[in-house]
Amino acid sequence: MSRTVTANIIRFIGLLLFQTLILNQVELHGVVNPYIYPLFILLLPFETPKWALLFLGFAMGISIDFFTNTPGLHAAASVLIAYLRPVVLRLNKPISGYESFHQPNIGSLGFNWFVFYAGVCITIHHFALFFLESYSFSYFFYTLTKVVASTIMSLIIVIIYQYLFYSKR
Amino acid sequence: MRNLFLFIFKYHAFLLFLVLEIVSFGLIVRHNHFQRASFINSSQAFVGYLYNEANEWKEYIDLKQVNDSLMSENARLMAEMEAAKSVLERDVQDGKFVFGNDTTVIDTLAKVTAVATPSVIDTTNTNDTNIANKGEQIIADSIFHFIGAKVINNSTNRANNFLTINKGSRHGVAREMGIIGQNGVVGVVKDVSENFATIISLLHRSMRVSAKIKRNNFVGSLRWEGTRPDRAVLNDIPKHVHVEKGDTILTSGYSSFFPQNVLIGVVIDEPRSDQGSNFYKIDIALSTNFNSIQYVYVVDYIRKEEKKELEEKTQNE
Repeated sequence: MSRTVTANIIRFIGLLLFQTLILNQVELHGVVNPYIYPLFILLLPFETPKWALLFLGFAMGISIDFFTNTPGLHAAASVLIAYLRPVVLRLNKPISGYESFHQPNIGSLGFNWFVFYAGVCITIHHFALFFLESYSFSYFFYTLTKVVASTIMSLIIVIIYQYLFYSKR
Repeated sequence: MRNLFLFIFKYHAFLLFLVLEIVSFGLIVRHNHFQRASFINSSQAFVGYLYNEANEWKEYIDLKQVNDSLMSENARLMAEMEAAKSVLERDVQDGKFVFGNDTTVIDTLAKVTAVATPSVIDTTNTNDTNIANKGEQIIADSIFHFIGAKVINNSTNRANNFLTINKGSRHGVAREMGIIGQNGVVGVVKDVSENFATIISLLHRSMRVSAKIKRNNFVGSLRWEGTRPDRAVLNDIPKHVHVEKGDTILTSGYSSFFPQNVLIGVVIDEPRSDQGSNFYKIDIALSTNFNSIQYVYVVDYIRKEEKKELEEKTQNE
């Protein structure tokens, strides 16, 4: 239990710093802005209570907001996926159901399961984030391009991250 | 009462979700008011410290490029200074130069406007040191002061972009001061902490800069369109005005953020004219390269408060 808590605290700080000090500094292309910090919410254990998910999602989002001068923006988007995470997990339930030893990662539930889970959550997150950021629908197609391009990039980075830290043991 | 508790217990996740989203949206809406101060910003001491640390190692990589650009800026300033000196010298010799003349002294020296108390320079005493002393006095009395700062965080690819600089209230930086770089306008100070400040970039959708066409001094309003970091649009120029591709766009000096005649960019395309509108939309290539910006100057306009007070008084009448 305490090991899980420690691991998640380290992941929180690690993802926060990686996102703000490294990923945000890399100018790939105007429409490619990957955000991988939602991975913190995605990787929380199955038994995390809903209220804790929401609070942790808010904490992660508002921490990013401090770095990017966007009060409320990342908080709103990550509270949204923290709320929808249980729904996506239910939709994506393996035929035999979740076992007590399962963890929501690639090593435990496989590539296909994880890509669907992370793909849906990151798409929702990026959609909310970029449309809230543009604060209007007047640049609809430009923003939509941003959502699609950034989601693909974020997903690739998230999968690389998973293979680095959760190779099958 | 019991039912209420049951209700709250049953839907606690949804209610908590609503509360947190309302808080977030509240912050977003508040923040979208231009120039409203917010506690959540990267000038906060801890965040500023982290950005500063992360910037240290990046510095080494860019060192050569930074040196080159500072060198070329020095060369340009030296040339401007020599030109200014020779004009000053000539005018002094002709005996027609008067300090305190409130018009700009020399075109190239537009940033340093002389406002010293009226005193005719003695024409019999026109050696170099005198001019140098007078030059220092011009700087001391000038209504614009500049604070050099280093950019420690920057973005260009978001819908609203910000910069963080390593100078704060301790160094005299305050809210609503303008920021100019080597190649022109950069932004306006939004929040200030002791050692850091956050800047609203020109690449921010609610940013407006009062700009004029150098050729004919017509003034319009410049704004960013929200997509390309090297382009902006100049609005409010009437259609009878002659605008050409390649025209230089400068600050008008009407706002108290920037001095007059600071470079913004050049006209990149034939002006667009919509049917039914009396005004052009003019595409501008920005002179500042926001992707590689390293050093900036904070513009401290000494008479800002006085100007603001007077303008408010007039408006309220």
